[in-house]
Amino acid sequence: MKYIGVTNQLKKCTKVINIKRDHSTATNKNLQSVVGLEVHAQLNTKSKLFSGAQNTFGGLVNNCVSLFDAAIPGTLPVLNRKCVELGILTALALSCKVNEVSSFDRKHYFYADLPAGYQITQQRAPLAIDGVINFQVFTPGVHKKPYNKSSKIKQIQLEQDSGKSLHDSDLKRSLVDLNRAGAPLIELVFEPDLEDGEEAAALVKELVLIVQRLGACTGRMEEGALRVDANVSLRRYGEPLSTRTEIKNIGSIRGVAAAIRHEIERQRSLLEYGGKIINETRSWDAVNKVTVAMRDKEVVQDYRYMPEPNLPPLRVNLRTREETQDVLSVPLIKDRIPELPEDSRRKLIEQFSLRPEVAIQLVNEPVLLHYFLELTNQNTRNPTKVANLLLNDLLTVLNKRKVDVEDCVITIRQIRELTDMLLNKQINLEICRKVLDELLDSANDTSPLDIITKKGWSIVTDEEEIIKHCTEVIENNPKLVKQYKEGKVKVFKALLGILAKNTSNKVDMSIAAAKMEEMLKK
Amino acid sequence: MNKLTSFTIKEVHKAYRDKLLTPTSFVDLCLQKAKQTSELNAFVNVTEDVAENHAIDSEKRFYIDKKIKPLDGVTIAIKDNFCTKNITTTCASEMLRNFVPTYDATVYAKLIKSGACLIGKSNLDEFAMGSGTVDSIFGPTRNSWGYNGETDWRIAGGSSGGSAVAVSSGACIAAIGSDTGGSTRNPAALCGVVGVKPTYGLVSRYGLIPLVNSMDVPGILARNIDDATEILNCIAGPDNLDSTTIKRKFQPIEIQENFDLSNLRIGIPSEYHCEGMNEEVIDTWRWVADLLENEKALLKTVSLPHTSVSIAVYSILNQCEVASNMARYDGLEFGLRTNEDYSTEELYASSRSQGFNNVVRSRIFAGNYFLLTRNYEKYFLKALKLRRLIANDFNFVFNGDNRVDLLLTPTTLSDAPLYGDFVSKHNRDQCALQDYCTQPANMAGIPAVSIPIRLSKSNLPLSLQLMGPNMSEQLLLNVAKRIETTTTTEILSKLNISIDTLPQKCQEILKLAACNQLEVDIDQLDPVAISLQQSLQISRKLNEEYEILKLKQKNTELQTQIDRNRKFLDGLRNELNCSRNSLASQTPNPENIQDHIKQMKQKVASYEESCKKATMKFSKLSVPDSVLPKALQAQLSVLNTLHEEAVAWRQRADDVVFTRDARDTFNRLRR
Repeated sequence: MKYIGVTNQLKKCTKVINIKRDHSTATNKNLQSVVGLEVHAQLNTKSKLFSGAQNTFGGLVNNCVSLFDAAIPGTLPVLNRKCVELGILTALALSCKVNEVSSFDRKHYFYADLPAGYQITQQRAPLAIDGVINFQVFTPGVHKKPYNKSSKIKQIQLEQDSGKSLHDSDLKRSLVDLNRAGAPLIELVFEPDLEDGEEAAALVKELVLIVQRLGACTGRMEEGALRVDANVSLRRYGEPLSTRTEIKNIGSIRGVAAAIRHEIERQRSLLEYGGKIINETRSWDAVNKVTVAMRDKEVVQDYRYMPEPNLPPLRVNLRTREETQDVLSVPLIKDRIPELPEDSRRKLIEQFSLRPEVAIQLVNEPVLLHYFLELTNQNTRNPTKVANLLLNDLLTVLNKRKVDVEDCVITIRQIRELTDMLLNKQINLEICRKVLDELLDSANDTSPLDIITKKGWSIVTDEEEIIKHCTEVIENNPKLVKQYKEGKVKVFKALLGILAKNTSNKVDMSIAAAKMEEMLKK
Repeated sequence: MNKLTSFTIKEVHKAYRDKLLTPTSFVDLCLQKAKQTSELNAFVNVTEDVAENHAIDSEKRFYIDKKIKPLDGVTIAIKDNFCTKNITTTCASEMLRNFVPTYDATVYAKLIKSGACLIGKSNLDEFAMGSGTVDSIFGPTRNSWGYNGETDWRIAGGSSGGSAVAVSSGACIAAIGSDTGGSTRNPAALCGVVGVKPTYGLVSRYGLIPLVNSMDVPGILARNIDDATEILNCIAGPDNLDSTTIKRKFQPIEIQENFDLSNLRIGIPSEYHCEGMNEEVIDTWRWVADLLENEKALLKTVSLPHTSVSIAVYSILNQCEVASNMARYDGLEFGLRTNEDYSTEELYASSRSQGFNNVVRSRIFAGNYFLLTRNYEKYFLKALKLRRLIANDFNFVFNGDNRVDLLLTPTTLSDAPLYGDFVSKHNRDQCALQDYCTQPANMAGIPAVSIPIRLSKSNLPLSLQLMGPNMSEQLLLNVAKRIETTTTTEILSKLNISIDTLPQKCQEILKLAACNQLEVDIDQLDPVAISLQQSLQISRKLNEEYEILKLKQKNTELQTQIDRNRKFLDGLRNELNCSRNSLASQTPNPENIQDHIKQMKQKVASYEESCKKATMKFSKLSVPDSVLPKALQAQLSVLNTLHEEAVAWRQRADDVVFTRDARDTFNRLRR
């Protein structure tokens, strides 16, 4: 019926059809999801953006607040040079064009944790524009192979953070903590170049790695040092962008992926059942895994932007390496950019012949990357094997214990010794894992060898002893031996299994296999 | 006394050096004056304790440390929109009625560092929004000119009216105002004092509660150019706390006695000759222009074509910034908070409607309208463009082909209006009329000075304004000084109108002073000299009294010392008696001690004997102690204790003998 209705109307008015067609399931599969991100990153500076108050996480409530942060009348903002430096550093690392002159604006809205009634931001002339971030999308279990993706950066701006409100519903009181008020942020506005949550999560991960390398931001999403807003919409391929919803303040990388996935599904099914997407702000409920509309943000706010009259325009020197009290040299800042994750990955692939997904995983975990580089810097160890050890074994051990990679206590010396033992076949993989597990508990810098000796885990490579064990197995399992000799080669593995079991995995299996075969063929 | 409060800074310092006055006595005079003129309502808060403390500090520096600061003992008033640590700063608004800042505005800090003494915080229009000082929660400020306690009186101008009246009434030597659209120059003109608006950014705004950040400048009100310059030299210069201050180091301004005006180009902008300008004002303008021409200055008519739009542009920019700046008054961190607790939004609404007056509220309302995204380009951006054109007008006049060095205009369109007439108009129209000549300078950020010239027919001051290019204060103030000097004679002759009402002696002095162009010494002014002599005598007498007091003090101290010694001796005597008594009552009494000893000795001897016997017996038996029967063991221990007791008694007997000997010796010696 519906379909007939549609075809009839087709002749009348194409506009109507477009809407109607949205409702049909058939066309829905042709809808492309479009995702654009806005990321707020707290700059890692000693003091705040415009005041001398301490910029810290977890301080005593209302203890890091200057007169300016509390908007005491008559106080004026003074721009923190360090914040501009870190902002420019980040902008340059993301290939942005730094503006020679940028300026500050006031964005007005009333909220209890915004003492001045406005936020100082850079709306009209941001610090930097036109950048790009290149990253690899690879989520084990979702993607088989990594692929390249990039997103353009529209602008990077400096702005103030707000304070924090706490609502006590029992006492019917709102409490305000201004420690965060006036903390320096950079807002990175990305173009809607992404298609799904995994891509967004990969972008955020890459961004976290970059700002951490730069020392611009701690990247600790759990502390709110990096917060993500995601704009999500659906459109038919090749058509202009349609109405979007904004998910505010997503606090983890997996949250980004999950929230966007959920929102795309929500919009898809809404359209499927004839609903309409409205421009609204939603929040991510990480417990119930759903996005919910935010009540107080329904009305579209007019922020009544106005130039900040108390701050002169921010000028930088784009050409030379000369600096003054008020003018920073961009080339000087550019000199300070360290090796970026992208370069690290390329280096791993080219120099160490690692597979791309291995390179991605290593770079994603700075601690593992550090181990890797330390272990391979003398060209004596096989890079692929080292990488596998780190990514498969060490990571498995850590995950099993639910220990964060960053909190791994194993020292370079320990991992070096252990790797050598493994690669020289002094121990096998299973024992290696056991030792790793032990190392997490042991005292500082205990030698893995000591642990192995103490626990009696060392591997048997002595041929005589192996032959002895083999003879034992052959004697005790005449049936299998008989089967083997009759041509059933498969049982060889069973025999080896028995050997391994008998010796509790302590014999070198490669030697054992050779010996066993030799003996059986006699 | 009255005359003392009309001293200039130089004269006051001379009087301090000659010890005709001291900072503390002068501050007292000023405080007295402030109280006497309380009817004028110049002060929101007279800071008596603060002033006295400052005066004591100044006095110490003047006479003890001999490190005199440029403003030591100079009394000042500060407009109540400059933050002062631990002193309420109200902005004449209900919102900040109880607001006590925890920091000092840079201007105030610099003044105090230079030695100035704060007499009080002066009245203003609420948040400096006005040009009459009539919209204050503390009531309007009255102009001291033509005030005789009647029901209607002249307004002081505004918004720094309190500061202007404080200076003109003699409660302080100088005062600080703020100038956003003429708020310092306007009241200065109406109250007959000098008003200086420095270049934007020359003086720090830190601690000045803002009206329009991009136009606000701390202004100076003083009785003459010299004083105003002295104050400016103390407060100007870069400030790290205000990013909009000019970074260059400030060169103190020097005023020359006979500044040469020849070949100085002075422009008369034709647009300032506007509708509604009083004939007398135009006359005065023409008269001063002629005087300057006589001094060989070159006068020419110039054009500032965008002058007439200035007021409208100002109105929009002002309201936009006001809307933004006032957003912080939400009753949470500071300021008025009502008891509304239904919701945070309701609390905002009720606090803000109770905290602000109609003028403030309507400007916030209009400003928020202009800033709406859909109106931003239509109003705010256009206003900014026009502001640029106004600034370009000045730029062209000062730097173009037919350039001039300074501009001469009236400050106000008339002399001070009557309060009744003034308040019958809407705040917007009041400002539009009052700020017409002063306001463009704020748009362009250029410096300007209002100089009182002469009196109108109603015996009210008429003033003119000089404007110069950015950072031209040196030239501007020197020319202003020249105008001040050349017109002084005329002012004094105008004063002669009412000279008949003065006592004979004063008439003579004034005539004399007029002849000498006020270059008179203190000694020549009889009433002053007399009062000074009196105070000198008083101070001498005080000195003598002080010496006597000091001697008396010494006397009492000696007496107490003698008393203390006597007490000590008595104590010793008592002690002696006590010990004598206690000796007499002791047992055994020294009298029978010998018998006692004999008895004890006998006892001991018998014990010793039995002991010896026993020992001998035991030694014969030679049984180990542990085997001894219990009775024997007990006896042995008794023996031991008896031994000990014997020793003790012997000791005691010796003691008693010794004491007796001592007593005898003592008695002998006493005899």
